[in-house]
Amino acid sequence: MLWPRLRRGLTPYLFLAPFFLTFIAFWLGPIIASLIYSFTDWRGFASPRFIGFANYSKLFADPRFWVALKNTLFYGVVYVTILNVSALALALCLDSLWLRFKNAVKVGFFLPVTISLVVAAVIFEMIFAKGVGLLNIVQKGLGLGEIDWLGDPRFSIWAIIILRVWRALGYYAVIYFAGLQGIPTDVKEAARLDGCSPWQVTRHVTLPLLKPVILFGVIMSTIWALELFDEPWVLTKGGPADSTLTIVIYLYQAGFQYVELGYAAAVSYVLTLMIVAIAIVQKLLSGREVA
Amino acid sequence: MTMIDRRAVLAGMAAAAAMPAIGNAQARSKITYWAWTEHVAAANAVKGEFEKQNPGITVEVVNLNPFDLQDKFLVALAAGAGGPDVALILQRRFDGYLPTGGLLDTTAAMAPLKDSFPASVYASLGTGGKTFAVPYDQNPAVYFYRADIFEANGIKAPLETWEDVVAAGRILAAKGIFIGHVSSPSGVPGVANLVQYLQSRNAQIFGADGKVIRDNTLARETLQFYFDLARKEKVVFESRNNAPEFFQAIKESKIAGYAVPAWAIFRLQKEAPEHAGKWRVMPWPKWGKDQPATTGAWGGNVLAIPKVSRNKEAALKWAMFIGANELTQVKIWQEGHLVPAFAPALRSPELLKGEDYLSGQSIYEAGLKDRTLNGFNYFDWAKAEVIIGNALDLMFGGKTSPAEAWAEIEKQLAGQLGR
Repeated sequence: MLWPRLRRGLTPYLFLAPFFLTFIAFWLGPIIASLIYSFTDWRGFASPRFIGFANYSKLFADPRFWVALKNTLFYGVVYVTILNVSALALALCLDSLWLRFKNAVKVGFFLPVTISLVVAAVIFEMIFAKGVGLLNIVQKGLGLGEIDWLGDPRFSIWAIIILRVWRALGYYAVIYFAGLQGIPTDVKEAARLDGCSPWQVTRHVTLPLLKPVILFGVIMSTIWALELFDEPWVLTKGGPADSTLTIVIYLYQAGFQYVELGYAAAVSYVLTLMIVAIAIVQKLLSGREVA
Repeated sequence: MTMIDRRAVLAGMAAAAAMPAIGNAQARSKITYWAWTEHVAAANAVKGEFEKQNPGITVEVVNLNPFDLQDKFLVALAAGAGGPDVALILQRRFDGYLPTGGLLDTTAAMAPLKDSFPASVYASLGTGGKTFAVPYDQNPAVYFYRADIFEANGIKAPLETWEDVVAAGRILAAKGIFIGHVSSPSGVPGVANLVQYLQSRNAQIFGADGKVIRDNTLARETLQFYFDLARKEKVVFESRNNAPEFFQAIKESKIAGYAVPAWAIFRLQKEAPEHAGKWRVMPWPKWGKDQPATTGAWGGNVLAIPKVSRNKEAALKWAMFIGANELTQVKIWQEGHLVPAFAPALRSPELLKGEDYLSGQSIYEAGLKDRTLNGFNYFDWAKAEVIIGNALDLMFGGKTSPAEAWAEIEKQLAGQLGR
């Protein structure tokens, strides 16, 4: 009598077990392990030795960490702003009735999302090339002079921003477009009947109703921005003169080039705390009605 | 016979037919070899012969980006899993792998061949009288130049000294042509480029004891010279290594000289096939008429075997086959223009054969045969490259002078590496 009841009770847990086992083995386990390692001098070869907060002290005393932090935050603010404003503008255009070839435009903007990073990097290396690159040819044509996009520390981070916005724009535009499609048309109709101009409808009806989607877009793009690695690694390896050094490149160098795994774990925890803090602040700033 | 019976019989027959194949597969050892570009071509050219000589072993050659390879292999050693059976390791990074304790001891295999390799190469294979790798190649530099441009401007090659190079460079610079290349911003290849200049002058950064040499006048002067080529004399083209603008300048005949290892001929052939017959090669210039005839290198490579390899014996056989075998080492020259580390191979007439792209000139005979390669002390090079690269970038960015840049390099290397 007991066994059939027990079996019935266990069945759902057995079905859920694969998820929880993999979650514990590949998510929770490493998260806890890396927290422990962040307090050790582990280099992967000998047994780790507990060193307290020494890795964290070393981290905050390293000028390269602060350079990486500054670069990451500057990139994050500029990238998230440009990306979300552009994606929202694009989505509003796509949502408007007057835009012809809507699907073709959507496909065109979404295409960069599907292109592999290596291909994108090769293309942009040619676009950014000093003197002979497409961007410099256009600049010279417009009388704006020549810029060494990947070689000049003043511009290298902007080159990364341009590439990243190009790659992500279509993805976020599709998210915002889906959000716009979910706004009831009768609300906008009512506003128009009340005499609102198209801008007033957008400003006072569409955008407030889109706020949860905008918050999602901003938080997600912020998280991806703080985890910036691929593009600067492929194009500039963090240079010139550390001008595109990000926290994740700094972490990669510590962990996988210098094999200072305990130190790299400390860097990863600082990054995680930063992401959580920024996400909380963004949520608080966005207002209570979004929650 | 029922349908089920027939199926069972057919399945049994298929299984029986497959048995010998399975048996063979189990008898063979498969080893993986991680390498990159020209080394992959060289390995593929000789692996058939290796498999013929060793019927029980097959070799899978895996092509990886050289810098990714170094990182992946280091992590594999730390993890004790996930690595290849044999990996090609940049000699300048090799000392970072020794503390892992994860490399196979090759002392017994290498000891009888000790005198067959340059002393500096052999010394870099390990510590305490033990070796943990097999040498592979040396990468000494030559000086490629455009014979047609030189001739049209009355420049007689080979140029004997760097003073001659600068003088010839001034003639060409007046016509908008560069006689060389400097990597700026530097990155890792830019540091390797500078090391060629330092090494050819025997200007070490670290002493043999691993300590940073302080107040290093020779190194500082060499950096000043490197900087002056670009900024004072303006005779070399400045760009990132292998950047599109560099190859565009090559194609447009704006660059008439290129000081790099012999394998760079492949880049010239690929990027500027229309220049076949126009390029030639000369030895690395001397630092003065009475100075020794030396050259520098981007750093050679060695072959390392992880202890956790499941086929250590087969892996060692492969490493010895490509690193310590005269015929194979000659082949890696033929296929990849990789200068053998194994001395007997350097005496092969095959190295004296001419190149069509260079109008029949032999790179080895014209550019390398009469040059000696100084040893160079590499320590903690993954970190050192970042420190030196950043200092070079600040120098070329106008933030520091060469003297200040070198002082900063010494200070940072000593401070951050504790050396």
